[in-house]
Amino acid sequence: MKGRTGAIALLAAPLLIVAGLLAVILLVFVPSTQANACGASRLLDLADVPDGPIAGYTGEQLDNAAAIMNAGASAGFQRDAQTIAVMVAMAESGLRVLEAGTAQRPDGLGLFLQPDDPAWGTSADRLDPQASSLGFYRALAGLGPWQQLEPTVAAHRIQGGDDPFRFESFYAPAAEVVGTLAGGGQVVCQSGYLVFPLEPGFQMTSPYGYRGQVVPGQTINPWHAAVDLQNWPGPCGQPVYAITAGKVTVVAGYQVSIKSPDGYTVSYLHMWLPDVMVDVGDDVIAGQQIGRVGNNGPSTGCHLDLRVNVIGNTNPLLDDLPRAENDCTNAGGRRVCGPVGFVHPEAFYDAFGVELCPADTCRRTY
Amino acid sequence: MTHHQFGGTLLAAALLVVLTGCSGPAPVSPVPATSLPSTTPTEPVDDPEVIVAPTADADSQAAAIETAERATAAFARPQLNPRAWYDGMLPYLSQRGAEAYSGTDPSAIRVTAVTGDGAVLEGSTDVLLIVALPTDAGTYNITLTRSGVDEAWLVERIRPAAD
Repeated sequence: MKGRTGAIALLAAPLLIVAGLLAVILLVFVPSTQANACGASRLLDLADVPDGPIAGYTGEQLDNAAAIMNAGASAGFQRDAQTIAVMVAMAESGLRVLEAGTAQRPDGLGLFLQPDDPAWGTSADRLDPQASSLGFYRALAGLGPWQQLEPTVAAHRIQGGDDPFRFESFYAPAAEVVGTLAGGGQVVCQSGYLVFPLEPGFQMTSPYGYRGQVVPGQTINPWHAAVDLQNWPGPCGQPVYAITAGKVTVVAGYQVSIKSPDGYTVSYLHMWLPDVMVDVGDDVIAGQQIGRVGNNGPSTGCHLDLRVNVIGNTNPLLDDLPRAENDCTNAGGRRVCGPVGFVHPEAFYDAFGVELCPADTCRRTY
Repeated sequence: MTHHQFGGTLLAAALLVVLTGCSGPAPVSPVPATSLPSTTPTEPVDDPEVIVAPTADADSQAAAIETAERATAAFARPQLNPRAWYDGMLPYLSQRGAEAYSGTDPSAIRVTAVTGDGAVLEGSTDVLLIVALPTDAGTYNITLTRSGVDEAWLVERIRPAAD
């Protein structure tokens, strides 16, 4: 018995090494293949552009997004580049053809607020969605291997300014608009600054808020400051991904927490600690696997409890989200409020123009 | 196989079943899984208990504020050429910060001076914190990180606070 196992191990060893090498190769190439997996570009019929809203953008704004996408498609750029171009136009002009500059960019014109510089063409060029977009794509290609840069950093190098991160919050809405206009949706595209914590197709098994599940005779806070998610069937062991980038601040008990450089904290509950793939102090990027779905702690089945706390947040998009401590219910003569600083994870996604649990892919079982 | 070994094998098998309890055939109908309150009979508990990350000690927070102030002073030099400006920033920057600020044209920077003392924002941790710092162009938020409590703080972001 022992001998045979040993022989199998000997045979398996080279296979494992090869598999390991393949895994390394796959990991190394993930950024570019992921971007391509988000979709090839194609020319859109501008007559078919919906009125929206898509991620809060409507009408003329979506027509302009389609024009930006078409300029990219005509010049051979794929959806990753289209998303960056739309992201920049969202940040600079709100996807409108601005005929005057702003306080920050007084000589800027058009969708991208391109400055008065021969490199960006004539005023008419800068005001023309097609010509100004082509100018943007040329500049993007001029950066060299721009796919290796964070989208906001690539945009910063083209647009200038003093804040390399000012485009970041526009990436998710841009991906939503580009994905919706291109067809096929954005849900399969796990990239950018805000992604889903599980492989798409997950279901939501318990909502955020007061659940009223008071066990008789106990004074238990029945406030669920999270949403529960699981892949189905076979939820156990499914990969859990960091939804945003940040620093791992807690790995303990049944909890992993990651604090964003913008200050808010996302916690991922119920993984078994041996399944957790990150340590306190690690930097993680959005979409990086941090562990596997488990049933650790107070939990009745394998699922991910996802919760967001905005204590110390500096991102203005999240300023107006209702906080759990202000969300109170009168339960049997007792006032029950949520824990301090937590916000609804679906509202968190909404703030970036992304739906966490879209009706077509995410079933609600409660 | 001795009884001892057999017992060990059984235990290991049992553990394996416990640890991979969901690896059997999947049930046919969905059973919603939820976070349940702890079943501890008497003590009131939150559902579930969430651990708050430890904060850095006072000396360490003071060191973070000092690094934030020095880095922002290096940042606040729009008169420099891009190369000199970036070289001045580099000693303070994390790897992510170094990539982000590479290629920045400092002429667009509005800050020219730090005008007050920095303060660590609430929700700080011992590996990432944000320092709010008054400047002549309004308050800036400086995000600092370190990979462990014995490491030096490095700057990841210097951003104007929202109005």
